[in-house]
Amino acid sequence: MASETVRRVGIDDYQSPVREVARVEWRGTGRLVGILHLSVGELLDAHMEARREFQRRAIPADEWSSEELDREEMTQQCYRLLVDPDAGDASARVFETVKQARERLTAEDRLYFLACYQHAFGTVREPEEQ
Amino acid sequence: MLSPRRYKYPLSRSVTVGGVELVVRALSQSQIHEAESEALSYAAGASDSMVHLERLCQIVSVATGISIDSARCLTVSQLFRIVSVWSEVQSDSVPDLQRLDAAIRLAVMDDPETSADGAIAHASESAADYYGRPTSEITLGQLCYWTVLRNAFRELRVEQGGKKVSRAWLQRQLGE
Repeated sequence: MASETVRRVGIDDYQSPVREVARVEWRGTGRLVGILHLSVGELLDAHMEARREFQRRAIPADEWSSEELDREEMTQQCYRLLVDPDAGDASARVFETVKQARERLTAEDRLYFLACYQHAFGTVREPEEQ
Repeated sequence: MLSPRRYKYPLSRSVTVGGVELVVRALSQSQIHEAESEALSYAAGASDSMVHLERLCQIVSVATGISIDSARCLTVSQLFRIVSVWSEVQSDSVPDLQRLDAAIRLAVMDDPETSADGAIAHASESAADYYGRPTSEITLGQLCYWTVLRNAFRELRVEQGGKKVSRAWLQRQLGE
């Protein structure tokens, strides 16, 4: 039986307006950025968009390009997860386009932000279910 | 002891995710296969792990009734939480056939409701006919229930000469 504190909404209304955002400093810049907890759909988008980018560049996705594909997927993920720390959602991304993210993020930046993501959300528990 | 009639209905359980209560129900094999096909279609060309994530989204969508777009708005941890509840529900919905057979045989003899249900099952041409829904929507547990009930009713009430066992034997099978 549901507790009185459970918010009941319509079944298809399940798109929480509140997204989890962790705040981290972009090393070497002194700038604070938000790390958005991505949805499954966003992770899938990043994965598929990396492959589409390879198709656009006519690069086959095989064992020889797998490292480059991984880098592109990490770039796509960073593009989606880096947001204005005060906005709290996906509407205010740090980079306007993936191209900008690709040009301005170094390999170390990508690894750092994804490590921050794992640290913040890798073993997250839903606080209201504890 | 729970009535064997619980297997007549798809098992379901509630889970709260993000402050929203969702009811997670067991699925038929057809529904699971369709979820897999949809996932392969949507994530064509993706890695195995991504196809698996999409498959889980499809299953959660069907098992809870939320749209696939809503399922994709879940975080990975939320998705896995719902899937773990679904996995338990799916597993619990398939009965131990020997125990179910013993429980139904007792109920057919003792419980007028089950006996009446048995008469309907005996008269039905198929599980789809009995449940009034397509076979593709009938779970494995429901199929087991209909099959065992129909056979038990036929042997105990109709043919009267079929395999008969003692009440003591039935109760031993049920661990009573």
